[in-house]
Amino acid sequence: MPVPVYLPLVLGLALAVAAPRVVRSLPPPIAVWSLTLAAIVSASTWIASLGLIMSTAIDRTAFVAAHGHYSLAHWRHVDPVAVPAAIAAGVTLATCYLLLAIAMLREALAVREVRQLGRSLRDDGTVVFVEDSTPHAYAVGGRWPRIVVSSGLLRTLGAEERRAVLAHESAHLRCRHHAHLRVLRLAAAVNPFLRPAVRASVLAVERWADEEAAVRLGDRTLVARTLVRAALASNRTPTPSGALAYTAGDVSRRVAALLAAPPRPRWSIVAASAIVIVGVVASPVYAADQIGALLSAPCPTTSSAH
Amino acid sequence: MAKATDRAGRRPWGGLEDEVLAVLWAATGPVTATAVQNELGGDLAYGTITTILGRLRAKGLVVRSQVGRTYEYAPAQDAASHTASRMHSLLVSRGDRAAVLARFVSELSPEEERLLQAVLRDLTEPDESSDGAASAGDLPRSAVPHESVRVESVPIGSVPVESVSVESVPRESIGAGAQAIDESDAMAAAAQMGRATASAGFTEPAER
Repeated sequence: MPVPVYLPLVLGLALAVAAPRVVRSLPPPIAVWSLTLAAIVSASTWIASLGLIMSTAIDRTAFVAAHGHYSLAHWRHVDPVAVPAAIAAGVTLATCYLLLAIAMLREALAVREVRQLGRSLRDDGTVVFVEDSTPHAYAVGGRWPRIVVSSGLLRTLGAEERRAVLAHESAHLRCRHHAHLRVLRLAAAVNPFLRPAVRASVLAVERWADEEAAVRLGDRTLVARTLVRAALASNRTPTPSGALAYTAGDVSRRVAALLAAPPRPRWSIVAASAIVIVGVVASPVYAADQIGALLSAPCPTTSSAH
Repeated sequence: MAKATDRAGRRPWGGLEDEVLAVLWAATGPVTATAVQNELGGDLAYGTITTILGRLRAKGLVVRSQVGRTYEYAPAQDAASHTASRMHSLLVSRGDRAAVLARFVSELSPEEERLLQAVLRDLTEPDESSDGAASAGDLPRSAVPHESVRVESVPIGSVPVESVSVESVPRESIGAGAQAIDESDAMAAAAQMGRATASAGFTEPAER
């Protein structure tokens, strides 16, 4: 039976590609947690399978064979992976580690300056208001969590709508959305096929905060209206950095979801996804086990080391 | 509802103190406690407002000035608010999103903007009360004649002077948001956002 050495790689990629599509129909909290879990599984499987493929070439060296007590000639005969493929896997693996290190460094640096400033502000949970004619409202997660709202946005909204904005942003902090997004960004640095999953989780995180605000205020239409007013007002004033914008259509999706009934969990999808994830996690273990069996299989022509 | 303080001793965000502070920041100048009470809705007692304003003053977030016989409140512009502005400029100017969680609003395509304006028109029509929730916030702000004269029905001697001041609080001093949004008459689009988004090619977020 052929050794499924490439199977974990394929499954990891399939998970990365399928996850954003599957979670679209799930309630936002389940969607976010599923995407985070899928990203962790996909990225680790990606690394594990690259390592496994690369290891087949390493097993061909006399040094390793001597310590591993298997027959070098036998392995060279039954090795399921061609040497060039194994080398390519090794190079890719090294690149992934490098990209991950760069991503972690970027996250740390980006947060550092802001954190020093944020630390010097009040720590009793008061929202931070700033004088800025451009409408802004955002949450900064982490060790010194803050909600920042600009006077430009405050002037656009009524009292109830301001309440909706505060409820939305406080939901981001309460549900620790920044942690989810950070995990997804790091996983996408390792496995670039996870980029659509990052975008999907950004939207799901906003939907989650929308739902929390709607529950807290007891009025879905109010949250929808607030979102529409804020989006229209913000669109009128050019923002300094366009990189913070969402993909087009996100606001429409959020408003449409708020004007509809709250989404219900579809447990059949959750159960199926759980089974898939278990399968993906198990695949590199299975492949490694098969390779191990090949290595230690008794060879008819040469004697085994023990 | 939420606990008074969480593990780190912080109040939950978005509470009454933040709402009062938001009113002050939205105003274009100092405002009275009465104006704050009017803005936040009738079910908040005047005493609650003044208590909160007192707490905010104690924290150094609000300053009070006396104008004639009334007190007026404004947000404090001190070193802390300067630090906050610096942090805000830093976050907003950053290209990457690692530090900032997410912004409440985003950029819109022209098509999306038209769609949303149509939705806003439908949501703010006065004769159409959505789900029976007909509060003052449902009405377009320009259509609500704000109570410009408010006379408290309490004896003068028992409460601070400002509560009986007959004072016109023009909408503009709290936040002239009514004219901020252009309601262009571009489309007679579908009333339901769902239909509109489907026809524009945006997919529905949840299957029902």
